[in-house]
Amino acid sequence: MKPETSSFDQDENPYQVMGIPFTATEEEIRRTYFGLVREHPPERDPAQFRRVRSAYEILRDPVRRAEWDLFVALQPPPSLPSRRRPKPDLAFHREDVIWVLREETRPKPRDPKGDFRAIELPRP
Amino acid sequence: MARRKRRRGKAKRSSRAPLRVLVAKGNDAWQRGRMEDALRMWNQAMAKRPSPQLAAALSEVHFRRGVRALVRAQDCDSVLKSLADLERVRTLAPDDWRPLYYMGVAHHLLGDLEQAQVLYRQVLDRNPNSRRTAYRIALAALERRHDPAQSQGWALLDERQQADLLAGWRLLTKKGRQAFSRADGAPAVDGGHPLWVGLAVLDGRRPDKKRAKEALERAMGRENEDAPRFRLAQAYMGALLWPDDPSAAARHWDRAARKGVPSWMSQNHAVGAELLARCALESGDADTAYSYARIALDYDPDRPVYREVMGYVKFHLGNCAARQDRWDEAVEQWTQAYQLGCKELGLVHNLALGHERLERWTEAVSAWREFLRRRPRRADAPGALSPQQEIQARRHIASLYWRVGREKEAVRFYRQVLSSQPEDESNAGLRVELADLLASHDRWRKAEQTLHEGLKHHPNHPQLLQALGLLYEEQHRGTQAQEVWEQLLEVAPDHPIARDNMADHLARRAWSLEEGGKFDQARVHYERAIEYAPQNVGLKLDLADLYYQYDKRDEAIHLVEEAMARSPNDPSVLDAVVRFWISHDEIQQADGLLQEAEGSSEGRAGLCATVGMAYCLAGQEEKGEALILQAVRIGTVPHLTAIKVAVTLLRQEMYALAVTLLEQCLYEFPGEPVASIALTTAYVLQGKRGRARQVMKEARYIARQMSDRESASMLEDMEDVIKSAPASALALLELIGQADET
Repeated sequence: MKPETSSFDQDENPYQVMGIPFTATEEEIRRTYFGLVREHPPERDPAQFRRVRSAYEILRDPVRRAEWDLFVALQPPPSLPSRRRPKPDLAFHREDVIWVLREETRPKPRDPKGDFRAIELPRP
Repeated sequence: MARRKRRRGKAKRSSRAPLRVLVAKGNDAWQRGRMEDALRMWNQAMAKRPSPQLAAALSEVHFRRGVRALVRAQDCDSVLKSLADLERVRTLAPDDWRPLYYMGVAHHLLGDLEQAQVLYRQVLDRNPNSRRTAYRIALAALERRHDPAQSQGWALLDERQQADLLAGWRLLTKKGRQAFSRADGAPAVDGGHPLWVGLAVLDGRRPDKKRAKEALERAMGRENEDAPRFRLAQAYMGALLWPDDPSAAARHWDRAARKGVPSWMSQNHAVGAELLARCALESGDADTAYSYARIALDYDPDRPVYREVMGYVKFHLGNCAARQDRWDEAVEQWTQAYQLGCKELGLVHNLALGHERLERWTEAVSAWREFLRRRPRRADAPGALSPQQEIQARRHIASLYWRVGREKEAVRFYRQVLSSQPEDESNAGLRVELADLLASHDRWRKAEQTLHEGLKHHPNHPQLLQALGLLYEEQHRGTQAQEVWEQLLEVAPDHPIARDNMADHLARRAWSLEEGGKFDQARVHYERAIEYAPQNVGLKLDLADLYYQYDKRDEAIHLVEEAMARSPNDPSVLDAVVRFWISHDEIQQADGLLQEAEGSSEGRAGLCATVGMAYCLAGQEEKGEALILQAVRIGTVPHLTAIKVAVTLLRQEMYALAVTLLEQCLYEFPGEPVASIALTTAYVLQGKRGRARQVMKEARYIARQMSDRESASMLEDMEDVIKSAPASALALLELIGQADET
């Protein structure tokens, strides 16, 4: 489960920035951080380094991480549990024959026009 | 009511209108397509003078209205309305056979097959070549399980119509494949339209699904997508696909149902829609998921599975809205999800965040409480809170309760955290918050007790000691506070709050010793206080003051210069030192300091005025006047200083200078009551009573405009005093100045 960042947060989602799951351990966080730092050294990619660094700052501190998870991150909906669903009706219904024939011969809006007559009014 | 009256009046007027007008108006309404108005006018005309043409016109309008209603009818009521119009045609024009066919159709739609057949036959009797009537007679016969081939007008039907009706009759009356079996009993494939074949092989205990599928595919290939045969074939195709490929089946049902299928199929549509909603949710398409979930829920709003799917969809939609900063909408969606029975912990958490975002504190605290109540208790369970988070959540709930004014609950939540982990050092902050909360409601003993409980576990915790020290200070329990500060300074010698407070305590002790004439002890206390707060200029000046009192001028000067050297550019230090020199009649020192600091001090105008006043009091009016004028030139003299200096000047009978100072003051603070009283007094003393009246008038006007009743009444009271005894006014002003200083 990976929390989403609500927009009122000033920072980016640190989990997304570091590409780690919400459940990552301290060791995993540390290892990922050093990997990312090697990938984006400050002298070559300062902007990305800053992002990674600030994400790491949040996640390495248990208090800040707990606060972020609790008061900033939106919880995503979990997967829908698979329950017994209602069964469809797979039987043959004979009356459907009548439904087809009725539907086909039902008068359409343009059909009755041939039955209409002109109106002749009495002369004053 | 008024509209009804108007309409009634209009009807009365039109009923009195001449016949030709009614006919013309009816015709006009007819031409504009307003059938109701046309009927009303012509009915009135008919009531005036019946005529065959009018009757024909009326019957035509009823006929058209009835037929149009019939072809658009979606429910029984519309069919019945249509029938009423058609029966009216029969009354107006008994020889007109046209309504009979449509009346038959209406009865047919209502399920009254017998009456429908009677009416169809009457049409055929009048118009023996009506193929549509013959078809409907055969269809009604089929529906009554009669052989359609025996019905009246059978011969009028073409081959395809006959084949369809016969296939239908066989399907209805015989079972499954037998319907299309040959005489030799072998399964037949010939049944006219492939739909009939498909349906035939589906019937029976062991339907031939493979052949049914082929036939239905052919049926769909032959018809366009809007045709009822296509839709029915598609619906049955879904039923065939369901066991192996439910998603494909659901899509078939959805497409068929959108154009119309037999009513029993709605159940399958709902079942399929629920499945499609799940698929859309899994692929992250919440909008599509919503449209499918809506279909399922509309079919059966109470079915838990459908409610659950819709709940999850709304959970997703709420998150989408929140990510786009639409918090109102997000909370609305989450609330609906919750009401639909989605009780996911994440949803409750998001609701809590959303309510906070919208500053709905009461709802937020309820959501947080539910979140906490339902959290997983096992530490390794998914979504379990860490102990840190649990403390934070409880603390947060406590602060929300505090915010909404429910202190009891707030205290309870703080206590819950503290009692669960009384020895946890990180709870010290929480204890301090609780103590603050209790103290803010004057529950001092409880606050003290809370801090002592913490100190029992961690006797030297700086945060707890600081809070306890401040608590004692607030209650003016100096000795205990001092003990706490001493303890804290042993643990944290540089603790700034403890040092400041210790310095304060020592200074206070020094003052009382000084008052008791114990110079040496007072000096020791001052020196210790200065050790704790070396930056405190006031303490140094206090000690310097002490030296002065005991004729140790050099030591005093040394201390003052040390204070100045420590903060040479601090205006407040300059101010304090200048005032110190003046209070000890060392005007030269004060003036010298002022001149040295020229240009570097912001509050120089006030200081110049004060030093000028000191010169005046010392009899050096010229120097004093020069400095006061300099003060007015270089800036604005603070109004309390200005008033004090002005009153002194008035006492010294230096009226013009006082007026200059006070006029500047009132220019900056128009209507200021004490300055106004002082200036009025100055004018009275100068004999300028007109000006004095003007100043008072303006001040009273401004006080009234500002709704400052207190000032207005003070001005009124003082006006009489100033007029009768300006000296008394001066005495009062001095008192006001002293009160303001304290």
